[in-house]
Amino acid sequence: MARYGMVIDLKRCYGCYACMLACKVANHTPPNVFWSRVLKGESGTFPNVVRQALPVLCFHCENPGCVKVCPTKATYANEDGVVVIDKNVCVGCKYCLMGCPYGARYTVKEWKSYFPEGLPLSEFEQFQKNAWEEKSGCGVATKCDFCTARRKEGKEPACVAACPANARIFGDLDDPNSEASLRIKRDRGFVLKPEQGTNPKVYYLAPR
Amino acid sequence: MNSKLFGLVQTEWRWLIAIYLFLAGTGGGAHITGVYADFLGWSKVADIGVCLGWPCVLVGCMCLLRDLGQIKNAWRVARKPDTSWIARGTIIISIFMIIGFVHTVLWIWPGIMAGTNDTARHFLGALGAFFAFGTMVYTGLLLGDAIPIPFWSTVLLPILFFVSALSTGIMAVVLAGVITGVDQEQLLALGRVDILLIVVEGLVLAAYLHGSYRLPNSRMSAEHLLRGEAAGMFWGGVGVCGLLIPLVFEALGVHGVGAVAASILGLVGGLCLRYVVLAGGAMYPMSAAGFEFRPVRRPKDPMPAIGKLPPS
Amino acid sequence: MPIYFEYFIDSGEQIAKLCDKFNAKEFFDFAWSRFKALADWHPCPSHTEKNPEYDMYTFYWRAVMHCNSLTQQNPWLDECPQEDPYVYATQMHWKTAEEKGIKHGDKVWLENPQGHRVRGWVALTEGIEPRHLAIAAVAGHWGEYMPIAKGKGTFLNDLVEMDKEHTDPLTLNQDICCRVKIYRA
Repeated sequence: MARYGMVIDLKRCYGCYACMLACKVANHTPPNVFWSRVLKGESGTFPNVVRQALPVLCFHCENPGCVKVCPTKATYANEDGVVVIDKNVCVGCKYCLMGCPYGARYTVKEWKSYFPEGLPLSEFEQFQKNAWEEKSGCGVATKCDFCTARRKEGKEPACVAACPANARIFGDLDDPNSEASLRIKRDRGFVLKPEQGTNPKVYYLAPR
Repeated sequence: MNSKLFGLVQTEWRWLIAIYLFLAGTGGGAHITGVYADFLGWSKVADIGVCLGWPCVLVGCMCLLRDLGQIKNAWRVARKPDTSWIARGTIIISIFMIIGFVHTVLWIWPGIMAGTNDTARHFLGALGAFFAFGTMVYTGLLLGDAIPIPFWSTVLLPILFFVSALSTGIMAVVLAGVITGVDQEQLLALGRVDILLIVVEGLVLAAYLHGSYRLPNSRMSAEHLLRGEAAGMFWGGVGVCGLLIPLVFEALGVHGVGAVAASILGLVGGLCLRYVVLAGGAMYPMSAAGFEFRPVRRPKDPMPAIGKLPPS
Repeated sequence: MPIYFEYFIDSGEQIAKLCDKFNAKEFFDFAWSRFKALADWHPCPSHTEKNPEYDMYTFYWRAVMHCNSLTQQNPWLDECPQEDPYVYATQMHWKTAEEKGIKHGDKVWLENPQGHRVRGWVALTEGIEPRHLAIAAVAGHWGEYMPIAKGKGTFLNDLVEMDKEHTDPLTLNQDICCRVKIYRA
């Protein structure tokens, strides 16, 4: 009975978007759906300016705002602490998109290709479309699920494996000896928007 | 899209949901107006009110179903009334529609018990009024439960929607009353009640926007309504059509065609109010370690990159 | 790390001989003094521009996810910086923009003294020298058959002149810093 979470080291992250791309490749998300994305921020005045990248994804909160407002019990936290969506139960009311303080949930009305309209779908695009509709579906809410399929094979989530700076650490927060728990304790990990009361399980380490 | 709200404002709930919120409010308001008229003995106005109430809410529910992504699961929507306002709301409006339907069938058309059983009718009317009140208020509470959006998380929003719904309900009854030829004195009396409601609605709206403006997290939403891209719909639709013109016409005691025009504009104003509240629903940007991370606005049209070459 | 480029003296003499043979001495008439062994700095036309209207310097930087211009057409790579304020924009210091009346997100023309101009949109930032404009390289495709790349970024190449004054005679490198004036489109 693990309680999965993640630690993202902001000092190491330099905003290369590798995690965003790896997530897109691994989960076949359509255009404008980013289960994992990177935001950029800037601080200071010239000539002392610092830029920082912030990777965000679904934080799999312990008191999730999305689960609270879902009327059909389609989204729930499973026993590993991962918040998942049952696409056969979801009714597509989009209330959960309003309930997430981090903007981590997306919905797609119909699958669109990246290329302009009117072109026939290539084999790869057809494969992507089938994979998306099988896994997540159109018309319902979708979000990151910590790469359930990869974890079943014993691998780490795609974003964690792809990071060239090893800025992301995935682990069991219940286990006090896992690297994630140790880093949170040692480097004083913080969460985003704690005042919303959602208790996210993805911690950030300050760019010290 | 307004550059300040880009990437932060919700884009999924727009016209269809605004129409649903408006119709739910108007239906509830019309029903309460009908019950109030019933207690005063104005039987024709009472019939109009109750007959307008539940069909409006039913049409609103059709809009809601149209907005859903996967309609085949729609029956599951009432499954979680302990935490979700959509579930609670579904139960409330279903009961309201059933009560309204029963009331209509028994006393209005085909009128099985028409003219008799006054106490039963009063009792059912009061019960319907209670659920109509629930229908009107739950629309605001539904939005308030989205905690990341500070523009909606205030107690003034259900109050605003309640007062606006009562006002639009009265205006709908007056509109139907003028068309079907109801006694003018009764309609003017309803108009005088509406004057009070419009004044209260204006005050609540001012308090709501002032409160939103004062909090830094919701300030950009309030500015979006007052000065930003929604300003036209707010000042024109809500201010002039929804509040000013009905107030003036009812204060002057206009009847006939003037009353019809004022009512239609008032209803349009009610719809615009729901839409601008939805259009202003934005969450505040994320910040970490002293940085603020705002999504950035990019120009929409892909433009050709080179200009005209100079004559060689 | 070599600091004494002996071979330049030698190649200078060889090129002089070839020019004599093919009668092309006029073309290289400015260059003979530069074929020397120690490094030297000669101001390029961007530094010697007299017209005060052309007061902004452009330079290019590399976005991390693009490499050679074809990656702009890759839809995934193009989608990643969708919300990034820096990659497809012309970055400008906000004080300079205030002086010129330009706001964040405005479309602008960049025009060089030879009259060539390109269009882009402006992102205001603190992290740049006030008189400079940063443009991400290999952007600004205009071809019809690269629909995903079309129109994204600023086409810096059009501002880079290809003539004698803007070319380094020793290596035939282009001067990629350009002096431009910026105004709203």
